[in-house]
Amino acid sequence: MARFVFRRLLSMIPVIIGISFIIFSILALTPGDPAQIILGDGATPEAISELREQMGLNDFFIVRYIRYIAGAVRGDFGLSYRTQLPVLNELLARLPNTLVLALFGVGCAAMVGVPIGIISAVKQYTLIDNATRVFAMVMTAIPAFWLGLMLMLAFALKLRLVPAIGADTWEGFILPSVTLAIGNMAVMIRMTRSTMLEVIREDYIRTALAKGVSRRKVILRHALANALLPIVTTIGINFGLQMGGAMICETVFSIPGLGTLIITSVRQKDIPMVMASVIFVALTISLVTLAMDLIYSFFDPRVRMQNFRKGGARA
Amino acid sequence: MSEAAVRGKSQWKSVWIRFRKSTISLMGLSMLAALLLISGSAGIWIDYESQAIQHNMKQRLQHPSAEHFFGTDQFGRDVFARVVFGARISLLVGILTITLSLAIGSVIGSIAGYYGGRVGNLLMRMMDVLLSIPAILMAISIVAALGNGMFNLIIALTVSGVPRFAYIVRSIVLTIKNQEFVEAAKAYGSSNSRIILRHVLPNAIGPIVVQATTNMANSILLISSLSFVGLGMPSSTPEWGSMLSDAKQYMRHNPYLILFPGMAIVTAVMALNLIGDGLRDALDPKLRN
Amino acid sequence: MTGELLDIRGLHVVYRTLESDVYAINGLDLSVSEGETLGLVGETGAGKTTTALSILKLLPDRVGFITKGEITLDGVELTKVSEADMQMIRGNTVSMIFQDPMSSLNPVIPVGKQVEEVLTLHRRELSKREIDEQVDSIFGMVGLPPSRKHEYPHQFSGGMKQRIVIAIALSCQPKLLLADEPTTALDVTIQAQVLDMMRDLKEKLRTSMILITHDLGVVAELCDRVAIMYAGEIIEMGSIDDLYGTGDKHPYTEGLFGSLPSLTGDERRLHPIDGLMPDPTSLPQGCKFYERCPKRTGHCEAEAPALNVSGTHSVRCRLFAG
Repeated sequence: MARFVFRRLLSMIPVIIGISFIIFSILALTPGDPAQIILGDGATPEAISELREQMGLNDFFIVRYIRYIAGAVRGDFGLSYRTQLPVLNELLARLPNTLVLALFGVGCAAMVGVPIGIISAVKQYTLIDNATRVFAMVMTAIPAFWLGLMLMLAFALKLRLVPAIGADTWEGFILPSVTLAIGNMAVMIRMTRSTMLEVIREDYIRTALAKGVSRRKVILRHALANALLPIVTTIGINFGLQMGGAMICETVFSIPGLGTLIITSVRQKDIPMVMASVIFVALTISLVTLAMDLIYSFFDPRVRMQNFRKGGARA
Repeated sequence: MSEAAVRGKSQWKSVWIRFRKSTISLMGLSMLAALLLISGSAGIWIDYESQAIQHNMKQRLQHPSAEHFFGTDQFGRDVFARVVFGARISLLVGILTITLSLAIGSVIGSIAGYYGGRVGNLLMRMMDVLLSIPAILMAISIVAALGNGMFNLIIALTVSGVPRFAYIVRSIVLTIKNQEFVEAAKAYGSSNSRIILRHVLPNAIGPIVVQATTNMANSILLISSLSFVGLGMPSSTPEWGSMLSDAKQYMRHNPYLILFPGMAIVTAVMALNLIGDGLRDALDPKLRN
Repeated sequence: MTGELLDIRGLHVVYRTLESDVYAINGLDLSVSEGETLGLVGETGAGKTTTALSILKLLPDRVGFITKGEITLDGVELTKVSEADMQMIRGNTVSMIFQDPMSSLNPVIPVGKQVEEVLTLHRRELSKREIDEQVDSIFGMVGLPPSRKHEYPHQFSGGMKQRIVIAIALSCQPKLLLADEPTTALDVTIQAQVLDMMRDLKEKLRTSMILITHDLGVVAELCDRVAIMYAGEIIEMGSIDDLYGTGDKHPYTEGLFGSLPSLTGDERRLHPIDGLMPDPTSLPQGCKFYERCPKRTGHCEAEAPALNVSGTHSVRCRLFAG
């Protein structure tokens, strides 16, 4: 088991290197001289060239990349151009807010969306199914930030039930979380429904029916166990999308998270901050996907046998 | 006429027959047609400069009326005119993005699929990595490096669109490569690029169009999201996302300011999703659910 | 009671899809008596599997419909039975072995549990321990070590999976077993083993069976009677001797058996006949085999032939009239 997890973690390394290399290359295209940005307009040419030397900006691109990665591995993502403080501190301070939003969004969406999707599939083409499909279809077309604005208008500005912005109290998280959850729920419903429909058509479902198992039990005992595996994977993939959604949502509700951090850093041309945040988010997403993958392989007997020798077949 | 072309023709006919049977798909198609028509002809019946761009402080923040269907914004600009021209921008950026992604993705996918080997493998690994970066992060990074504006936005969206098309084209090339009619064409001495153009790509059109509609819907969502946070179109441009961003501080007393641009986004995205779903079902009736 | 275990009269089944109505079964009459094995032979799409699914009332939901006819099993008219009662019949009085053992077993449930499930459903009087013992003995019966009942389907070979499927089907000792090409998906050597086992079990449990197959050799070996299906109808039915003997047969059957209708010869497989079955969405008015028939006459196109019975042998063809 531990060996399997370790092997999967190792296999992530090339992907992480790939991601960081691409982001590093893109951001290296930024016009303007970092030394100039840090020192401001009044700096003398000598001071700028001294700082450039000091920052290693004259080295080859690939040398700078390796140096960056070497630093990042030790937790050193450089200094913010704006505050001259370590990037990592700011990142870690902001991360919890974004994680709370994304986790809450995915969690709620899964808890509500998966059952609805199952019912919709089982009752295919009935009124419930059609209503669910229309709801899901409309909801997938609504951008998270617009939904956020509408909810804010209705529940914060008009009804005054919750605060409109800020993360000072837990109530501030209600609207952004709900916003994210609703959008994600639509994805969950659609995906659960189509997975379930596929499973229902499998031969072993027919076998179960031919045994005399009731339709209800066939769904609960035979179909669900098989459908849950792909559903878990999708929840993992969705988490990635959710991080993106959370970032935009933070802006709507002025929540100090990674999203607002990245966006203000882009505006202020604070490249080290942008780089670290983007890599950080991408990394989080890969880790979550990996975790879901592990859950998947633990629950699917076909994969489990190959990977978890101990316990094995007669567990 | 080649066999592939003949097959293609009758296949498209039956796809259309199946597509037509679905009311919901037709609804999507007519929604998109309406959007294209209105935004395409907008220049004829709306004066872009005076209605959508120029400030007119005497008429600011007027609620919807017969004169201004969707009201006016904080600078007295006609919201209806801006929403209509916004459709132009979204659709234009969307179409350009897809064309570019498809072109680049097809080349990469065809090479990887048709020739395979080490080059193909390397290309697909690169696509893997690109695919693992969420589109919005990729777009933000590119905008951070190159600055905002329509051109950079198109680049940003294209980069994240390429891998999916590359995947589709590659898998189709792989499945078709060994089929008989391609073998036959090879035996007749057709060149590789000719085989790709005449035989492989026509068969790939179905899945590509489905992906294109999804991709365009995502592009429209992404453009407006980026503009909303100030990393897309400059705020004077009548783009749906920037309009919403401007409207945020006035929405309490002028809710129509956020209502109409948002509904425009939903309409466009939904139209494309409906067409995509309908097409996917029509292409493969077995998958219909 | 006629002494028949299964009696199907004038069965019509339609598949209603979005595009069109598919007439899958068109006036089928069929009966199986106790202990008898009936071979159901025909091309793909002739309606063999649909017949079996109709008996189980497991036609695809909201698509397949029994529009006319009666199916009487063990004295019960199945078309009038409620879904709840049907659940008591399925797996108990009648059970089915599906074509592909690879996909017939649930991949995430241990095989023993899948056998156990039938027993817990239909043998409520048994205690947990008795059921366990039953499962073990059923495993032994189909030639599998009971110790492997905790394993998952993917750990078994195709032939072993089919043994498990057969174990599930026979565990409540049903009166009727529907076997839908039970060996088509298996290797030739395994096929023989599985068929031998099925024959032994059938005799031991005195189960009646409808064996759906393409393989005329298997029919000759296992079946008492044969029914030939074409476009949703039985076009010929008779004892093994009637069909494998030298007597006159339906032109379609002649085609199937080819030039060497020998019990022991090499011609075990169906002979391909030129042409295709009629489009099931718009069936011809007259004889459904008209298009492909080498002995057709003008009458055949206009008028559907009646079933001509002589002794155990019945043929749906004008040539046999009067």
